[in-house]
Amino acid sequence: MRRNGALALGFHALFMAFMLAPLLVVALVAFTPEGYLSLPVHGPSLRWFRTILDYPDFIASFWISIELGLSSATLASLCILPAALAIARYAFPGRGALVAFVMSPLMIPAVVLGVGLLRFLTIFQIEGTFIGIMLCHAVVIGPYVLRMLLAAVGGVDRNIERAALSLGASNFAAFRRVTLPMLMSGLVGGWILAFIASFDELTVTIFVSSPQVTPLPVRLFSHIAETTDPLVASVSAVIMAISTLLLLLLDRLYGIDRLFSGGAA
Amino acid sequence: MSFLQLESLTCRYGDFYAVRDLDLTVEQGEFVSLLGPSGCGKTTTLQMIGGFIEPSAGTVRIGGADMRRVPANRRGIGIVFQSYALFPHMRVAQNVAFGLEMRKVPRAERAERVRRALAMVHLEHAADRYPRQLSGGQQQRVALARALVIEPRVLLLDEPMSNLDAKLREEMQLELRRLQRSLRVTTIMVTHDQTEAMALSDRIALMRAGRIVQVDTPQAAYDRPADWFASSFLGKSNSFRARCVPGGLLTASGVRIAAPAGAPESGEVLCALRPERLRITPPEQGMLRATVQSRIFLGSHWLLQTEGEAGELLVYLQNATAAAPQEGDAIGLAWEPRSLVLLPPDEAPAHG
Amino acid sequence: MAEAAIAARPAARRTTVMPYWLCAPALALYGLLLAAPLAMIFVLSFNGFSDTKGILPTYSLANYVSVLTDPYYQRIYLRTLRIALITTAICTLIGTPEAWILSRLDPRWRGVSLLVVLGPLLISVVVRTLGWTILFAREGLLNQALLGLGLAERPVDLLYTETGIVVALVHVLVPFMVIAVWTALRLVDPAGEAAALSLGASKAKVFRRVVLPQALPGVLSGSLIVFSLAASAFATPALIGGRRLKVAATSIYDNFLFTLDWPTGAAIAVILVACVMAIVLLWSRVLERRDAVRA
Repeated sequence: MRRNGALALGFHALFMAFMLAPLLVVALVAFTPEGYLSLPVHGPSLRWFRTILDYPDFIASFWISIELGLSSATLASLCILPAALAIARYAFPGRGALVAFVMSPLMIPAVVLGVGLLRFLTIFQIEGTFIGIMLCHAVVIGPYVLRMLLAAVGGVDRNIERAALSLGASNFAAFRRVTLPMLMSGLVGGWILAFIASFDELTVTIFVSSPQVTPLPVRLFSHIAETTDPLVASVSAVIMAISTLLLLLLDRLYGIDRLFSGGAA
Repeated sequence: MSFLQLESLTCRYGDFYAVRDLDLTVEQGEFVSLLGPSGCGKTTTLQMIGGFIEPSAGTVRIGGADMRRVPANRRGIGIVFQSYALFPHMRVAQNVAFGLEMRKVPRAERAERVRRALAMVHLEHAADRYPRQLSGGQQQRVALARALVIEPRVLLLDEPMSNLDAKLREEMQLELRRLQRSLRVTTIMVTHDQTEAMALSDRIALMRAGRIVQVDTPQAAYDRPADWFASSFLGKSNSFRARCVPGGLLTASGVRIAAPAGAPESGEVLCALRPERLRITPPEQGMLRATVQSRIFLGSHWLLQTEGEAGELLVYLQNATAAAPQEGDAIGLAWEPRSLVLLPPDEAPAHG
Repeated sequence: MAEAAIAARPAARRTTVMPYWLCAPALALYGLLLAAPLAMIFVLSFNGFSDTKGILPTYSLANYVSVLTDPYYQRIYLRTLRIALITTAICTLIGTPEAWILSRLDPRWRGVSLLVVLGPLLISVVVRTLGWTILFAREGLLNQALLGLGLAERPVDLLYTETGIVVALVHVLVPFMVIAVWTALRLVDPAGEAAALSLGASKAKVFRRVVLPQALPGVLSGSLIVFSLAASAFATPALIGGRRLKVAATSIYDNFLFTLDWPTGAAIAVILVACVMAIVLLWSRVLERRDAVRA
């Protein structure tokens, strides 16, 4: 009952081809030597990768996206780690509501979040600033961190902490020497996932960024709408390379199916 | 003066009492087991002694001092959990050293004490391994070493053997007994295994529904159970109802049997008889008659299921010299008067 | 396990204030940057707007009335709904069998397959949609393939069409369906199938009576996720639909960043959220009723 028939495997192959097709196309077009969107039928060329260097805007956007990812993933992790500990360890009124609250960006339409944040940031006049965008990203990527951390904290045997206490450790020492090391892989995995989510983020970011501070996906989006040269393909290829590397790292650390099913073993 | 005292200890969740008005005194160096079925409150009691659960009422005293304001990390208690709770990211030596580190013991002394503790449990060679590289039995011994190296005032054991297979369990029981006797540390063990409790303890506290039903040495608890629950939880026991009459007892089927010394002259009682105390006799010479319904060979003895004048009675017959009765045989059953225990007639299954 | 961690009642501690301290940073972050902005949008939808003075401090239902009665917006909502429903249907139809097949794959192939199927989720939606714009273009690869294989006489125009949007959206969203069904299927005890077979059921019956009912909750939750994401999708309809084919999300964009009529944009947003929530609740209720009836 557990083997797949030829029909099933054929379907599966088609499905995988469907999933890979657009990504493969972009990767291939990035290597074209021609001046228009085409496949590198006459041999690959790095022409359009070198062209990226002629566009300081794209390079600036790349670094902004990296810095945004680093800072928002860290901010989100710092805010959510204590909350995850509280949720997994204590029964307090409002616990369920808090979880739903932090997870809600996954359910609320990104557009609505985007315009809401734009409105909010405008009041404090930080719309379009790095800090403004970073705060928005922290909120949007938070759910990924929470899910990973809840699974990680849930996996820590409470008796291990009690053992540490009984041996004379203060609450803080028990946390630092025992709980935290055991949470490390979940913490790192959550951080990486959050980084990727921030790096890729488009819909909310489009509303809260500005010409001065434009993360990479937003700049790419505008460029696609305006022109049709393979530059968009080479930039996309760079994004794909980074995402794939981090993805493989996450798979090594954690296992990709566990990532998406919320850490269910 | 007692070393560990539990006075009216209560743990309540809303209307539910996990532990209710529990009193227990434990002497220095004594090994006491909290024995009972799951849900009886034994683990909760242990956690209250350890300081992980705050009692709703009552006090825990260690060495005379009230532990009410003392948090778990300052009670000087060693604990071994059912799952051993070793720190997975630390090596065995670091695990055992942890308590000493928290007490700021200097490095050289720490290393020496860790070595001695591991030697005590025969695991010096494993000092550099990680817990995941050890077997269940080895992990348990590390947990024990970790708890003992800090020279605790009280040692708490929460079902420490339940994850071990039967053979290993027996070995560890002997080992634990030897260790406890040599170190003379006051020990409280929680278990649902009555054989284990009887084998290891100086005294057994039998618990049920949050209360202590009986506290006694293993033999006293076994021979003189306080009620039907105690009688049936410790070992196997037969039971049948009877009415006290002057000079004896009257079974439900009207047969008159001798009463043990000091039996009342009237009232309903529940009679309890251990299967190993019943003797097989020819039918006319027994105190009760019965027929063998079935027999099961268990190596060192036979288990006979009999049905007779006092209902169903199980008999353990030693596999010594005489041949065991066949199925269908009519037999007589006899016993020493003092083997018959009289218990309050409530909450017993309707019998005989 | 995250669900289990959320659902399991932790040992009740005496009331302490510790958990609230621990949750303070997250509460502050989300209270300020989630609750407040959403509330603001709600309030904004009632404000008036003038081209000269911008947002007016007046409150009325005028925006809602104008949006709901305007045929332009009605078309947009219908289109959004249509696209979302078709996308959900297709995702359910191809995502469910795919998850089923994945659950029965040899572990060697499963790892790679999961990477291929779920990996794209970690690549920006811009990149994924770009791939489709390249494929869909008139002189694009898809047409070259179709013409070359003789499957079409003229180049098929998928760019700037609803069909194109649906295809690209399916690509973006089907991984969510696969995750949902896959998660449900993993909890199915294979011993249950073996037991059913030993009791004399045919393979088809076993699938229908033992496996499918257990996978159904995954199909349901997957379809709900896909539907709400498809209805509120922005990047894909923007890039493939272009200026002519608007959906709710892109018209919100227009209002906020081009015409700067924020109140109207807010009204469109609120209506979108309300519609999506209504449909999701209705669909859940219908299936709950069905379960209760069968039980």
